[in-house]
Amino acid sequence: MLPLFKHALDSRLSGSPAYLQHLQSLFQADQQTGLIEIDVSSDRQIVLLYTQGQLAGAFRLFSAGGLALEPFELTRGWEKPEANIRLVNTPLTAVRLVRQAIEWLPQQDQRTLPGTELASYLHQLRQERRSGLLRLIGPEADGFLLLVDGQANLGESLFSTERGFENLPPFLRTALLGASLGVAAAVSPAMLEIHLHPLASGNLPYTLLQLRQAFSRWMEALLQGYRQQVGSAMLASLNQEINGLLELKNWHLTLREARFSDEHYFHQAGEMAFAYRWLLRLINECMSKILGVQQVERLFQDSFKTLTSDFQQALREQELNPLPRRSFERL
Amino acid sequence: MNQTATNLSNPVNPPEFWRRLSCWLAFISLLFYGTIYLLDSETYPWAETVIYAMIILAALLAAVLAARVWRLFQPDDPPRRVWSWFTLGLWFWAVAEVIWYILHQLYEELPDVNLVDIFWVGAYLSFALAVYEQYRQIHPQAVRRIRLAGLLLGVLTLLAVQFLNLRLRQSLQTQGWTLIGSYLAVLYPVSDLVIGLAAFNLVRMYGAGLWGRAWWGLIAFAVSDGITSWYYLGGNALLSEQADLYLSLFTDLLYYGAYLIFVLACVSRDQLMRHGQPGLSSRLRQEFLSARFPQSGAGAVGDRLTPPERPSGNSS
Repeated sequence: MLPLFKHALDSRLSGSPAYLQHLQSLFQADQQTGLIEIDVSSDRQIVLLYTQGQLAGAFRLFSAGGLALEPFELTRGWEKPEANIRLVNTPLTAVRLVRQAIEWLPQQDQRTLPGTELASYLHQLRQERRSGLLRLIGPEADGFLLLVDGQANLGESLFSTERGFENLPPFLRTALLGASLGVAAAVSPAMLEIHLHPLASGNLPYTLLQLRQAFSRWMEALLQGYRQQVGSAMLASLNQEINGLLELKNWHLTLREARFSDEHYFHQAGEMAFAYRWLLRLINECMSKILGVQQVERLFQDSFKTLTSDFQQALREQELNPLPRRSFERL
Repeated sequence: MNQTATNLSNPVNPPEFWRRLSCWLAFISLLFYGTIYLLDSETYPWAETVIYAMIILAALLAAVLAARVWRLFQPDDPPRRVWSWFTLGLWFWAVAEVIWYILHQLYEELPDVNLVDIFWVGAYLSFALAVYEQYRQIHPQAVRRIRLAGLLLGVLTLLAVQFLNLRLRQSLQTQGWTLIGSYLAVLYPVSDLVIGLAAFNLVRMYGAGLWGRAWWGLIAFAVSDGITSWYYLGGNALLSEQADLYLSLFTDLLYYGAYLIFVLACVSRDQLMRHGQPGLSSRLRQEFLSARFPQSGAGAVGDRLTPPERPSGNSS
């Protein structure tokens, strides 16, 4: 099995199940975010995902797929008394992407191709309007890129490189540019391993992804509408007020200009919806002080109407539609 | 983070202090204006000069503060367009007040159309455009409809002016009004009514929102100017002496008050844009910070994940 984020700084150890438990307790105590990989046999690997010290997922990976494990199953099936263990600290987004990749296994398409052909491969995916998580493993970087209808979503991509974690390493930027223009790109000819995990609708990572994207679009339209009326300085002030509170809460949600970014790891859709509803309430309160209740209600409704019906539906299912101000107080 | 902490511990922050101080100063100045206004001008000949000086000062202050706010907007900020017209309107008014005072000092009788009217008309146009831009920004998706409504309203205003002028021209001409003067005499109250109503609708839309305060000044002006125009057209002949005194006191206070409203609105907006918006209530902050995720099975990892399908031929 290929290590995840192999270019990232890591600690490679070996130890028994008891040692693994000790490492887990350290991850927990230090509130670390990242992953622990254990090679329990030559063709089987266990991956533990941690977000701020909390176990966010445990999976047994096979060459053709993966399986969620209960914590007590972690120490079963070890081929030898000691196994290779790899510890990697990652951003929160990395944990989310790994979980998506595992839950979207088995991959539909796996290939190895020279870097020079990456642009044409991405161009082909664009033309076929394919959606899925693309795992790219190359000599410069390795990581994940989300494609929605063939378009790269850079907010949902992450690569480990020698320089650290990046959303868009240079070789990929060049290849994406080539793909959008439909021309070959000057990318190093080194071989790349590519896995495409198609979006499997209905499972939790998909639901979370859709909710995140729908909410991001809504926030973008809402904040743009607000900026339209009050200008950048007031928008910046609203962002500062809300971001300060979100930081205190340790939710990795950020408003930056007229954009919303969610780097938090939510364990379930209910948690995500809960956080988003709170965010709506805070924004509603802040905006109402400036524009008045009626204007803000209209802004919320108008911005919601700009979303596609799929996104509206996804948000409505989690009670994230524009509500009169009073309704937010039922949180 | 620091600002959050400050807001929690210090309920009266500097912007709030300046807003409150300016409110008190405006109130005191209004009382002073009313007192001076009631003084007998023969016994206290300086009273009239003080009144004019106060109006000119208030008009200039409003214009200067509006320009200060205008500079705070980024060049590509859409509200800057609204505020540009708004500021220009206030400057037209301020200049008109100064010229009017000078002309009033130089001449015993002023012609019914004079230099000041250029600035009054310029101000009406500027405010009309400010209101129009504000509606466009509130309804960015209905720009064509707003444009059409603006044009329609402009045409209706001109038709109303023409209609009223035809009805009143006879009596105005016997009072010595020139043709242009009679048009202007009708244009002002009609424009006051149209702009005032549009501003009233904006105020209604913004409700208690701080952003809508500037429009209150236009409403106050519309009412005050409407009454003044009515006076000019001979309305005072219908009033008793006492009613005339009270109504003119009210009208002049409102006129001066309108400038003060602009000043306060500009101070409020200046403070908002420099120091950011007022913080959220401490109750809401506490509620937010103590909020916990709903406990629907969250806890065990197995509960949280939707297990993928077990791959065939690979069971452990």
